[in-house]
Amino acid sequence: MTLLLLENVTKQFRGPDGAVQPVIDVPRFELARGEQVALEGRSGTGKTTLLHLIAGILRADGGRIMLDGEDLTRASEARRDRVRAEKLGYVFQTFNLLQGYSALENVMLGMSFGRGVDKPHAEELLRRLGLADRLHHRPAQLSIGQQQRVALARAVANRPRLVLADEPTGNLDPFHANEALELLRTLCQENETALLLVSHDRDVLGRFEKRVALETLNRASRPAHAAAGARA
Amino acid sequence: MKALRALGSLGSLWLIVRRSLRQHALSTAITVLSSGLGAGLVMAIFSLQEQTQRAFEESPVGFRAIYGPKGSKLQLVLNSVFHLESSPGNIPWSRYVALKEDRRRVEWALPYLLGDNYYGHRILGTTVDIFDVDFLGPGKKLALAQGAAFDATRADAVIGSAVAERRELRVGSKFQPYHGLAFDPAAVHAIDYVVTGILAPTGSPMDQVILIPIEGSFRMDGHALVGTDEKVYQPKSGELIPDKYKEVSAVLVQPRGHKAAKELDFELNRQDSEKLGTFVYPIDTIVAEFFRKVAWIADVLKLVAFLVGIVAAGTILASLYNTMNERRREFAILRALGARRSTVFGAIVLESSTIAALGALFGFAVYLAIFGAAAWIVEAQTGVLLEILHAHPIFVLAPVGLIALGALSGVVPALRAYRTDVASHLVPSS
Repeated sequence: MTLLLLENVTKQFRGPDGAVQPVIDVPRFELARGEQVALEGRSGTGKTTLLHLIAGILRADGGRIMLDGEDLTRASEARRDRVRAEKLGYVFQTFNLLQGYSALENVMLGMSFGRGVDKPHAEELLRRLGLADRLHHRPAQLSIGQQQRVALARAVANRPRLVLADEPTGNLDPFHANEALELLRTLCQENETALLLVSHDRDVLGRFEKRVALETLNRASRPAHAAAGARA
Repeated sequence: MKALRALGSLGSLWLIVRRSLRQHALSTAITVLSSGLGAGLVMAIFSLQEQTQRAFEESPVGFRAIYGPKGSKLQLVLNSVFHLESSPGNIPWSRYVALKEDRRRVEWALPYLLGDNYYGHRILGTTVDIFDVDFLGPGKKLALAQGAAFDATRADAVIGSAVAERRELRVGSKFQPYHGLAFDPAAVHAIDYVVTGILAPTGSPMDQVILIPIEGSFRMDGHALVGTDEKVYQPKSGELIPDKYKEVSAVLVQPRGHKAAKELDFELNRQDSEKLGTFVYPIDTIVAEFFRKVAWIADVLKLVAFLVGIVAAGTILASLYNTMNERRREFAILRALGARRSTVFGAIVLESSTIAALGALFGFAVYLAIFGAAAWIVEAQTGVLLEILHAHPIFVLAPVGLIALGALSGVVPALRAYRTDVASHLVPSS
């Protein structure tokens, strides 16, 4: 059963010189409920923009993005905020933890915008991720690996329908990268949460049964298309 | 479900505010201090002005008229009722006798003779009648907390409650008066006065004075009495002082009603061929008139206090606005987690309101400090008691006004946060 559907999604930006630059042009992409897919993409292929479009942070210029039966391209900003709070989890390459908040607060704050704060669940999640004695530590007091685990906990705490992961292991050493990836996949499986992960790391990509190359999916990232866009 | 969400949102807003206040503790503290200073100043000025004016306008004494030397009515009132300012001079004793014997128009009259002090506390020479009349108002006599009234023929003294406390004098204590109304340690009179009684506290200027027999004032060393025949008379020990040489600084008069008072006013102020003195009636209008004349000072002070409040609100705006750049990423993360624009906006306005509320709380401490100091000075100078916890609408208006100003000053930075572009602040992107 389809959870996410993209049809003819386009997004373009205007460069500093005023020229229009197409960044996203995806004819079709589907993701089933609970499915885990890796998007393979190098820098500059529009992977972050694509995730922002799916998350409703950016609005597509054209096409349709359906998430859990809801058309995000027609939804108001407030509605997209709510969808993001309730149905999506987001893992960033740089973790994007809030520096003034403890590990537990980072997780709970994420929950507060969605279905509501469930402190025991947040604590349990962090314990499972080996952070039992780090609940009240701030990000600066945590190692890089620990910070990423807090970010993972925050992304899945609301039991979302879909987790978007943007180079989630990009800042980790191979050991921690492997550990974080396994944790993320396990947590998603447990909650029947779909996972759409973007990476250019072959080790990471190799762990996914289903992989899609962004250059194939996104016509705007193909060199010929980009050149045409630049000429336009 | 919606109610739970609302509670959750409120909780997250409050968490965002608390964390931001902690992260910017120094600027928060400075802003709280400055806004608290403004709120405290506003509350103190309003409360002090209202209480001082009322205390001085609602005369703390039972008499409604004063007869004293020719000159300023205000000076006469301040001198005779509040024991402030210098004495404008003396009038003949005969004027007091005439008023006292005017039974048709005068209920009672008391002589006051000034000229000495004890460590700044004025010594008033008067008669024992002061303990028999309703000196503090209808049915309110000067009561003795300890001891007895003075004996008119001896060097006795009855002291106010504040004098007893500050100078550590008790019944039976002896003291030597000092010449003049201002304390000069070199101008001591070589005579011992014995405290025979201590007045019960009145909350009026009477707490600050010392009452002695007027005969004692006449006979104090260095007091030269100028009689109606213009000759200087120095009383000798044991000698009866002729009435023509006696003087009083003022006569406290309780007229028998308004009509009688107006008659005396007309007679003593307009028909007196000698033009010796000034009759002041009613005394409370003189003080009220004075306060009306100096009302602009209070207005200027209020304006200054309001400006301090506005500057404080500006400080809140500036301190929040300056943190907006560094906090844009925080807002972008919050938005990425699902926070609405309105949540981010609300967090900033709540933060500025919280700073203002903390300022208002600190303002009460500032108020207590300013009012406490001012009340101490007023009581020490005049004996008038000002109530530090006296209810005044400003105690509600100033904090509410400050919080409203705080909320308003949060709107500009909140708008900046509201407009934060999420995608461009979630670094890095590709």
